[in-house]
Amino acid sequence: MSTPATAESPRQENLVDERLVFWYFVAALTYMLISMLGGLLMGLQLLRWNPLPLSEYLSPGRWRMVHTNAIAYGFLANGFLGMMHWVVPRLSLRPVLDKRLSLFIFAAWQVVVLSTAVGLLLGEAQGLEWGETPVWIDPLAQAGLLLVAINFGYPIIKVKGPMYVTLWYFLAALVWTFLTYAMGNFVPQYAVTGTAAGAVGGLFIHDLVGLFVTPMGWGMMYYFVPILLKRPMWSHGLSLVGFWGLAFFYPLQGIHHFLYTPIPMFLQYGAVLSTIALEFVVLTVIINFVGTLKGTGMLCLSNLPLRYFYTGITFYFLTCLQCALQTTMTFQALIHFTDWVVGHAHMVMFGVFSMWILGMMTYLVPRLLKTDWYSEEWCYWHYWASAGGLTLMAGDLILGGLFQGWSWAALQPWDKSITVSHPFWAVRIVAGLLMFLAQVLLSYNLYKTWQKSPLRLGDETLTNVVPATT
Amino acid sequence: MSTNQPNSRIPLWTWIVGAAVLIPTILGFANKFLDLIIIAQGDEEGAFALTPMINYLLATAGFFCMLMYAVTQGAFHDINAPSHSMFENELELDRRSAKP
Repeated sequence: MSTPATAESPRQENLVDERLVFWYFVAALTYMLISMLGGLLMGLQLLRWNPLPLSEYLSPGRWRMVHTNAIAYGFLANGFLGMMHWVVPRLSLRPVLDKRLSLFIFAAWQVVVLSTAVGLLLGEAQGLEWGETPVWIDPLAQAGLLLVAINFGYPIIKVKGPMYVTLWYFLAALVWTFLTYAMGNFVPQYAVTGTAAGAVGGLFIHDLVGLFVTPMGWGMMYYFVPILLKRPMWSHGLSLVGFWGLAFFYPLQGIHHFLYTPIPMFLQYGAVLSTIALEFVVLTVIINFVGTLKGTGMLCLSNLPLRYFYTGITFYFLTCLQCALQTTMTFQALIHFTDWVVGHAHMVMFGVFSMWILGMMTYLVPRLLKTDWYSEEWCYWHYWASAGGLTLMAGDLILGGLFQGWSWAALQPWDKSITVSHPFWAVRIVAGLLMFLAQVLLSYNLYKTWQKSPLRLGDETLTNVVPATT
Repeated sequence: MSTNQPNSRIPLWTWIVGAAVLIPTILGFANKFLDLIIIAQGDEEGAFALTPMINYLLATAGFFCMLMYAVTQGAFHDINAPSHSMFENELELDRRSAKP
């Protein structure tokens, strides 16, 4: 990033395909709604009510996989890809390798995600958590990830001199995601079996979060937070410590998903230690963002996207703190297989990364559509219902998980723990419904905003206007 | 020498945090590597653990290459400069976009 923008520097319209960014956001929100619908159906089954009992294709077990896959590969991936189409060209001052390739990747990725959903409903899931994409889709997804890496890698590699930390995160994520997907979907399927396959599966689960979602998310934060605060990061050096710490600590952590299994203890302890050690890295990142906010904290009250971002950062700190605790063998013995883990997962996926993406959309949509949101008030409602619903759901499941763990530790009959869990599962449905309605409101707000956009109305005189965003 | 130039010295606490991150990493890595050698030399029953270990070693080797690339690119000289130039570029792009 040593090259400053000069008189010869390209303009925004030559760098960013704003229409494509918007399409990615629409796709992301569509999958978010599908995913949350799947979660609601699964949640209802826990309350002993299956609303779709007549078809095995719509059974809760299959909806559950649609729920997780649609959020990972549908919402998060589309949200991140849309965001990268905005951020990478602006940071590198170069467009992506080929805009036609970008369009092809967009279409191809939707085919991959939709095929995955259809394959899962037809019962063709691969036996790997978070990697249930049917085996016949894996090569297509792998090829798609390669094209993504080439398309975005080109402008990043071309940057002369020291790079901004966001580009480091993105460059690494492009490579890591490709390798992680290959490791998880091909190695246990074709190369190794038994405990070794379990260990690789554990690495895949966690690396998907740590080496795909996390670098994308933090790269995004390092870009948008300074812009919204109108000041550079407190310490770029510290941000690089966070990046390299993630690179070296994260890869071995996944085995902490399989504590108390036949995997050798030295590997299990290695995963525990590297998880705890990563908390030091997390602290450097949190300190950096708090330091950047210093003196301007009140902006979180008036600037809605910033509020999303710092809410996510707070949840990130909490989840990482949880992570360090729950990977200790003593704590793990209590919470293993309980709803604590489900609460933790929701706090990571929705509380952190989804909140960041939703905040990023709240900021970018007015710039993409050249008009303010149809209803600013609805944006605030969306924030409160999302953050409030998530807090309720995560708190409820974490607490319920403790009760389940204590019930099992006391050697009570299994059905006792189910009885104990029911009130928590009822609250979970209420929280989930709140979060779902929030996304419906956001989607409707987006639709109404698009309806009044000068781009849709063909008013060319207004297309260069940068609206005052929330 | 202008007094307005940013101080390029790395603060002491950066070194401390860096050491707090790197020292356990190096110790942990060395420990893992020893385990790998022991397994490779004898304990056949534990040989299946080589798969995740090799995965980790390959990943770490990749990160190490990337770190070396970063060093050669001058990523650690004037370490805060990219943060400022990014900011200036953003302002410039927005200014150009605002022009009719």
